[in-house]
Amino acid sequence: MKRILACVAIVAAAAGSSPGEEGAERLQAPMRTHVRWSPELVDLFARLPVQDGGRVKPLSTFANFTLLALNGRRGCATPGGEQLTPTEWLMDCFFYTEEAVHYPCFLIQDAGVLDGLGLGHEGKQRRDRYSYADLEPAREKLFGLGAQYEGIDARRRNPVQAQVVNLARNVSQFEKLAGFLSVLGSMPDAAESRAIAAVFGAEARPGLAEILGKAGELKPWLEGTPDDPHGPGGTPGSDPLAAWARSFSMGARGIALFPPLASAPPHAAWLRVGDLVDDTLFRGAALPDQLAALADLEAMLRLRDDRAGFAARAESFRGRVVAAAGQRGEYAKIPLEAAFYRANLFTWAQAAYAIGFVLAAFAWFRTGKALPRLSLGSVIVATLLLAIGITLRCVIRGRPPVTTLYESVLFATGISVVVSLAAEFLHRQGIALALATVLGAAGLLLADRYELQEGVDTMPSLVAVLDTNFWLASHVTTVTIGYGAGLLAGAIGHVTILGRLFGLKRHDEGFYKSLASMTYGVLCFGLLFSVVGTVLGGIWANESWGRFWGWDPKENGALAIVLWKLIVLHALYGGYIREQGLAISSVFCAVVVAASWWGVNLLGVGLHSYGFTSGILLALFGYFAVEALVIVAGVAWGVANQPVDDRPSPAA
Amino acid sequence: MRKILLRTWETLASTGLALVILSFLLLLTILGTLEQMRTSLYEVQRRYFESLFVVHDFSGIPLPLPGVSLLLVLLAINLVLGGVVRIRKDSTTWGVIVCHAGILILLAGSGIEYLWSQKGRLTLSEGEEGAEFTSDREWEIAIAEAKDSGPVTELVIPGWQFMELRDGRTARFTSPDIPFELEVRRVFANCEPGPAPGGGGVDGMTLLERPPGKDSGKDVAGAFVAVRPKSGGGPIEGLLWGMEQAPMSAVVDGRRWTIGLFHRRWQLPFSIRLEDFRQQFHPGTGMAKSFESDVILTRDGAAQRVKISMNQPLRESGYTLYQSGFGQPASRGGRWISTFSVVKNPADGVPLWSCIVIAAGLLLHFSQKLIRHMRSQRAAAWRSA
Repeated sequence: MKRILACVAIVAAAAGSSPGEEGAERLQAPMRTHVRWSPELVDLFARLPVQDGGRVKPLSTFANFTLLALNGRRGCATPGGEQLTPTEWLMDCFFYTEEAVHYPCFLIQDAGVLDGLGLGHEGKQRRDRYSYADLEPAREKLFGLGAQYEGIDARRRNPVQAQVVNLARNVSQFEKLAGFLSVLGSMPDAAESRAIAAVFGAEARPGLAEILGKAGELKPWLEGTPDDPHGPGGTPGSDPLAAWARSFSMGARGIALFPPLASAPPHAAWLRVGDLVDDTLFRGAALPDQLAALADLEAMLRLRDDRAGFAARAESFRGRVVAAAGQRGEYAKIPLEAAFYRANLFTWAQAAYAIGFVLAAFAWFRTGKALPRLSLGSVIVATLLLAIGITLRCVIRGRPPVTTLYESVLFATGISVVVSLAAEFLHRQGIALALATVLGAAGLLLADRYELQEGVDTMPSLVAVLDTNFWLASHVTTVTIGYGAGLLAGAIGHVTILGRLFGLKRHDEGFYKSLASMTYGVLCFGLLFSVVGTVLGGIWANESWGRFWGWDPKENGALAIVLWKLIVLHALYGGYIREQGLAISSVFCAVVVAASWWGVNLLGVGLHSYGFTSGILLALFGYFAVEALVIVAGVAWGVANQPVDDRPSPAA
Repeated sequence: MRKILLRTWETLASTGLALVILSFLLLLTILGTLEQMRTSLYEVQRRYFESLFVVHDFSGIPLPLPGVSLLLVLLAINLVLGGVVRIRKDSTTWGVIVCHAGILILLAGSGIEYLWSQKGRLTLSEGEEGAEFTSDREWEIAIAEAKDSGPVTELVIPGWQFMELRDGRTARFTSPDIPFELEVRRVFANCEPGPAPGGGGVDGMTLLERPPGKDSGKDVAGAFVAVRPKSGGGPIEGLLWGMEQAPMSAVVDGRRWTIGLFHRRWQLPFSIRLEDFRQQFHPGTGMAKSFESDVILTRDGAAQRVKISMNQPLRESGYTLYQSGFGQPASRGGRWISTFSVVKNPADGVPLWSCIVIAAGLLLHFSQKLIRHMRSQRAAAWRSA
């Protein structure tokens, strides 16, 4: 009970403060009291390699997505209003736990969750942020309810139950991080442990690295020997050190900061502090480099208020970890990934698309070539940033551009913008250019929102079936190009419908013919990629699962896009629809794309389980509702403005 | 008559019919996808995608619709008549014709696969060898004379001949090689044995019907049967159940016969021995990174070591073996087992070729359109200048 409270006292003790009363007082003092971390130190920690989710990544990436999951944003405010980056927040969790527990970093969407837990929320908004200290009194109840609701199928949980499950996971994750270094001050000393007194001396208070460094001498005290099965301490395992080591190795393990030996297999797991205890004390492993790094970590905790001393040991720690990771070939891309996230390329690209849109909008009302050219320049810069970002992700992952839903948004956005620019090159109406800005900004906004909502690493390890760059590069990429083209066709359809509705270029039929021509071209382009991508998907399924087509929801979604595009093009060819019908059909094409791309992932059935998602149902239905209105408006305009030749004669 | 034929031809070759077919295909694709939330994929495939007609339950209102099989046949006819034969043939339509031909190749491949492919599983423990694979869903009744030694000849009744027996319908099977007729009376697609109420049934046991499971591969079929000796005498009643450890036994004219209900089995022209199974996780997680099996393939006395893994199947003699499952069941002494999907599909390579043809056709057609469009724009620009 009150695990973090105990941990706070321990961390304070390890840092040189006395535990107990003082620790409790510090708990009640929510202000951030320590000196802000220097940018150099933050940068050093940001580029530290850690292993999480099956891959080695920079600590900044780990901090970023962990905080995103907890807080719903990429930052955290202290009670004093100071804004912390994710890496700063994580450093505070490690080294100033007693303060970090007061940071309001748990986003609760609905205060009803707190009512259910018996916690008050006076003075807070319905959707607000809380600290660990706020939630701690209901910790046991939260975990109990969380476990209970975990037993309910995720699709059947009500919103409060879903949030309780989420909150319990987040609190548990926070405890792992904030209690991560608790072990470094919690070992028994010589006064408590006869084993430590015998090996280190009667007055000794050794650190964990020192204890683990003498694992060979301590082992008989913990387990006995063949000659003396009861061990020097009497009953094996009766020494407090043995009890501590066992409880710790089974309990809090923190994060995997220590690379394994260079001789370990390529896919060996990195070590946590608990693993070091396990491997050295109980398995007899010799891990000198890891223990030296552990000694640095202990020293950092001790020297947390002596920043020069702290920085020296942090540099030493980083040097050891980087060297060990480098020997295993697991460090090369860490600086690049840290730099990639720091550069925020997609945010800049989004801003450039927005500027491009403003310029394009002004260009509609003013003659001259300057504004369109500036707008075009802005779009080109944005698209280059997007392309660089996608390329960097490919380099970091060693994968083709699309392996996750998040990446499919980035790629489809890029495709729709590039095809828009090609259409602008062909038609030079300014419309496709404006659409490129809208689609670029909207696509990147969607990617950003999705990342915020999911709060998980967007460069995850891939399940076995996806571990093939050939099929990811061929099938997934072509299908995503089909998505992008379908959305662009829908966007042009919107311009036609809304333009006619609001009288845009009312007497310029050439303008609408040009739009129809664009729509047709984009649909043809999209059909080519949708058909090829869908058939390639079947061939991949045949290679992986032994059947070409299984009527799985994801396969059906891709087929639906192909069928709708075929219907539209044949209807146009057969004269069943004209310009307005093409526009309406294109808007519906975008609906089919959205349903196939996102909707089928909500069904939670089929073999494509790696793509399942949740929490977007409302947004998706909202989108469908808006599109339904646009389609109805388009149909109404079409009926009201039917060409005279097509109207039934009174005699008929 | 000629007028009727002409009109039929016109209709079958029309773009309008193509639109109707494509629209129904889209509708059924959507309905069949949503239906998978309620029922098993196998059941949905059977009802929506492999049928001539389907009655969709639209919020309690039965909605009769054409099945996808019927629609695909109509689409093939429409494509041949309208998209290949009747279509105007000049330089502007070659791409479309090529594309239609590609779709026809794809449809033909699907038809061949549907009619003539064999699909099943082969599960082996490490050290075990096998040369037979079994279907997940198809069943068969096997009749054999019980002998202490020597080769045994099995008479096999394929599932399609008895699995649809419902509502009191029965069927009798026999052969000159056996001294009896086997009457199959009632068949359940999913059932389990249990005590018969009131002490009836066969030796106090009966089959209790169960609703189809969400994963129909786990459904276990069962049937009530009777052995009727050709030499006369009363029938010998029996129960067949797919998971029964020992088959039903009957003595007719002094000879003992076994009758069992099994998943449909096929013989491979080679044998597979599982040497080693390996599973690798992403470090520090429970997520599988890869799983693979080392097997010894033996054919005509020649052995060869092969690795089968996800995305890297083994192709041999027209059969393809895919890594599809694994486990360490206690029933096999905690040894690793590896499950391979086994497929024999005469049209295995057809999708790839059809994809190339379709892509070539679309590329040709759309390129021509684009070039024409650019030329007309340039001409317009000249005129306006």
